[in-house]
Amino acid sequence: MKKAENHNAENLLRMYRQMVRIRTFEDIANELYLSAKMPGLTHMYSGQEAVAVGICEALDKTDHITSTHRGHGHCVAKGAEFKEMFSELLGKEEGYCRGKGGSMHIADQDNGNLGANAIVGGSAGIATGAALSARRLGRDSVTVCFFGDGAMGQGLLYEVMNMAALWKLPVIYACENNLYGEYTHMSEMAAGDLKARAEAFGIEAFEVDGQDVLAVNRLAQQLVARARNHEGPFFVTLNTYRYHGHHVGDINRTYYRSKEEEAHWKENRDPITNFGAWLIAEKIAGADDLTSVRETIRQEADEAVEHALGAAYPPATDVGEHVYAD
Amino acid sequence: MREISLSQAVNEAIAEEMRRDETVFLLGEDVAEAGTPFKVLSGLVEEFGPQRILDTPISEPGFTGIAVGAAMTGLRPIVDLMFGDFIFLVMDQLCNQAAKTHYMSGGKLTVPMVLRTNLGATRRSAAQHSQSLHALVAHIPGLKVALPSSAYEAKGLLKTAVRDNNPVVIFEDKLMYQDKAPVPEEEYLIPFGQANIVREGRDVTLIGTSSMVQVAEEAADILAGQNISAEVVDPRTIVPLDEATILGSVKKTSRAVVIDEGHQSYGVTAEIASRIAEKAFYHLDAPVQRMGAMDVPIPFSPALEDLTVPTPQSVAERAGAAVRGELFHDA
Amino acid sequence: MTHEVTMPQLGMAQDTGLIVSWLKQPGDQVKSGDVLMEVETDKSTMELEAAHDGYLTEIRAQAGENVPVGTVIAIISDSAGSVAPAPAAMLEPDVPNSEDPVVAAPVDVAPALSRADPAPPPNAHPAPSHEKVLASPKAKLAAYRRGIDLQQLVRQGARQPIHFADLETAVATAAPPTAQSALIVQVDRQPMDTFVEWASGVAGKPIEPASVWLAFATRTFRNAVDSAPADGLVVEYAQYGSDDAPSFAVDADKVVLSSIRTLEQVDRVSDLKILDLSATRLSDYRPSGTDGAPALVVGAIGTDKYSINLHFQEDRLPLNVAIALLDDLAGHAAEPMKHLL
Repeated sequence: MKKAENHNAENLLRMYRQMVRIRTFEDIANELYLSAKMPGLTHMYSGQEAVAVGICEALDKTDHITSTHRGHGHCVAKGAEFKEMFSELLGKEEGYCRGKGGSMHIADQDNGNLGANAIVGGSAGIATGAALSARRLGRDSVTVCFFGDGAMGQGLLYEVMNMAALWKLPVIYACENNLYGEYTHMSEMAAGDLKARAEAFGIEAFEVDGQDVLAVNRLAQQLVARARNHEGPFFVTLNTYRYHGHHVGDINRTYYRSKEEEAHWKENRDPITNFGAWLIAEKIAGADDLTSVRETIRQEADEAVEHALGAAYPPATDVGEHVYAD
Repeated sequence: MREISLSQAVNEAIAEEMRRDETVFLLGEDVAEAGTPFKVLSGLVEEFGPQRILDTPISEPGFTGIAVGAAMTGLRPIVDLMFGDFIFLVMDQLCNQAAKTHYMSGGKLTVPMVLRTNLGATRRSAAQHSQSLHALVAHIPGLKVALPSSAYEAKGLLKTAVRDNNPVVIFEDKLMYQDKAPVPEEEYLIPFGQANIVREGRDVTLIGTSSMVQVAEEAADILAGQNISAEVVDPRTIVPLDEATILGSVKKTSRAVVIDEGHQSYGVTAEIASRIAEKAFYHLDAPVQRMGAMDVPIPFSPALEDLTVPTPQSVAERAGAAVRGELFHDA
Repeated sequence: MTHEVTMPQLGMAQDTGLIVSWLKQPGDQVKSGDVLMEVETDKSTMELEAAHDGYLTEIRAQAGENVPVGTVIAIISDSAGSVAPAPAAMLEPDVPNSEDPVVAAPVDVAPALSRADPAPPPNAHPAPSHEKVLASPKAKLAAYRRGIDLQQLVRQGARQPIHFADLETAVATAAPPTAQSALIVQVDRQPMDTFVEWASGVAGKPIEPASVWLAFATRTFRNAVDSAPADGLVVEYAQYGSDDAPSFAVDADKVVLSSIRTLEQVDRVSDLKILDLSATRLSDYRPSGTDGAPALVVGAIGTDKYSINLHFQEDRLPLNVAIALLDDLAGHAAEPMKHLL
């Protein structure tokens, strides 16, 4: 990693804290699922924290993001609170969506998160539409469309990238290449170069190490600023890795990737461990400080999940509410 | 009162709403200078400019998805889908995204958008440009579905659709674009979920949608010659459906024929007929009759295509049989 | 500090997991990531890893047990501490699954609704019948509310399916019921009794009086009534005072007395009914309602006379026809041998 450059210590520590918050949230969500305390299933973001945090730390609250089925990380990074998130995962009334969306549809519009989406690539249109709104309404906000390498197989993405390029919309297409679309390696699903697909529309495309939060954030800051300045859209491939299976129940996965590969990423490429070591080496924080950060966050998360477990389900009358807006 | 075509009525509705509300804009294929193949939108781009009358590439899912996102973030898009048959292309954006967003977000996000498209056979357009697919979207909670039956209805319903805070799909009958009807100069809205009793009658209720309202009216004329008094009801919107007016009419006449241009199986006629059977059963003096498009892809040849849709004659025949107690169904 | 090890939920539709084997035993030291056990679910076997460092201090479910997800199956403790013995049977899961009562509540509404049968209207209505009548729902409801018997309408010739308008017409003709007229004649008993005895002797087997009355009535009805069918003339016979159900004879005048067969039912309505009271001390019975067919009542007057009564509606059986019928029948009864001519 490079020197601290433009970053002040407070910003750097906040990035560390946000990554730890995501990891902690996911660890607890996984425990909830495995202990059958959480209905349904969920997709873990663990391992990809530097992507969400590096990008969202470059955004303002009024900027928008669209998220994916693997969306807890984006939600936390865009400013969501543990209590409402756990409540949503557990189907409780206090959840961000009154328990009606769940893990795969969590949305937090107050912080600009237009929602996770359970259709792969399904939010590409929404993100591009949000960028069109910004342009039409004279706002200087930017929209980041998060999606995985799997979404590169969806036609919708190319239709909207084409229009975004034609109309110069302030949208950044963030392709989190975690190497696997569900249970299949991306090399079996994507021909040619991912970046080149965007470049064919005349969209400037970039590739960055998605495990390096500083590199991600540095690129994101540049692109967000340029997008605000009507220079968009942009496309970024962020090379990263998911530690868990496709979803929490995907335990035996050696048929599509080896335990050695997983161990390599966890031991050598972990975004939190490496960034923590860099903070210590740069004397921005001490080891004790970071331990304290992790413990504090774990305590906050434990309190939040305890609260959510005890919180009320929505009343039965809620089932027919919100089908239509007034 | 002046008479204008359905096409002009739609054009006026869009222009009036765009003048009233800066956030309203329209997007779709060939909507600007071309004004659509039916010339419904001619003149709008000259008044509102290419930013608000936005020509898109031929990418139906893409521009529908963009409309969903724009609607979630402060605009009120009107999507122009050139043919109703293309609705299959936009199903994910319409049914998985637009329809569910308000509910999935617990009421926090709204999608105030209109998708304008068309329906109707007998234009010799063959199987992929002739379908009436409104039942598909009417099946999905979260979408509203309007079916104007005249120029007057088209203007009033479209203006209401633009002001609604939900995704609304409005199907215009492509054969009716040049049909003229009295339309007042002054502004008016037609509320959703309020059926129109087009004509009052005593012996049988003909419930027709879209262009089938005209068919029902002509059938009522034929029946009048047989001393049978038919009531014609136009639901106007099938979601929400004005059940009270339909049931009230059937309770009065004791007989019902439901006419809709969608395929007969699993469609709008089935839904309305079953609600009548459920909620007005003891008032029925004859089996409820359903008349939809034949369950075949719409054929090209005029000799075949004309056989696929209900006609005034076939409706009058069926309604007359119901009134005379001639519907035995081998019971 | 202790950590519970629970049966994981590993598939989307999995309720339980089968413990294949434990790879660690109580007392063993474990590290996070160590494989604790193998669990079989959805026909595949998976390894369950320890989530914490420590000691496996307790195993609560044994290999071979099928355990609901969420059930605590083992305990990992930070210290070796005391090791609990393995139990014989597993415990109930201590955590409710997604089947929450709040969610389940609306489902309970359905049976409650189905029990809420509407109260019958206060009006009297016909007792349920076993013969199915085809009628529109509106006609059925109106008949139910007004106490009209749809089967009666069918017997009177109403076309099925009955519509509401048919009901109005039928009720108009049926009510008020037309008053019945009656003709009465008395004849000596002796000639009939002698004839029955003689005929039995000729036939070589007992001839029932019923057969004689059926034959005479059919003959006289056919003679008197112009509209009587040439074939298929049905006369119904019921002997009051006996347990026998009414029986029917078709064209009883066309065969010899010993060959008259009676049927339990026929597929058309009777042209004439005979109500035989002659085994009692009663002389007449006046039917209050009518389904259209004239009724001959054969009663007793003392021990030596029959009273033969014809009850009929004059709009269906004109008086002069009725007189001819009964006069002819009285002639048969007075001189039965003439029947053979």
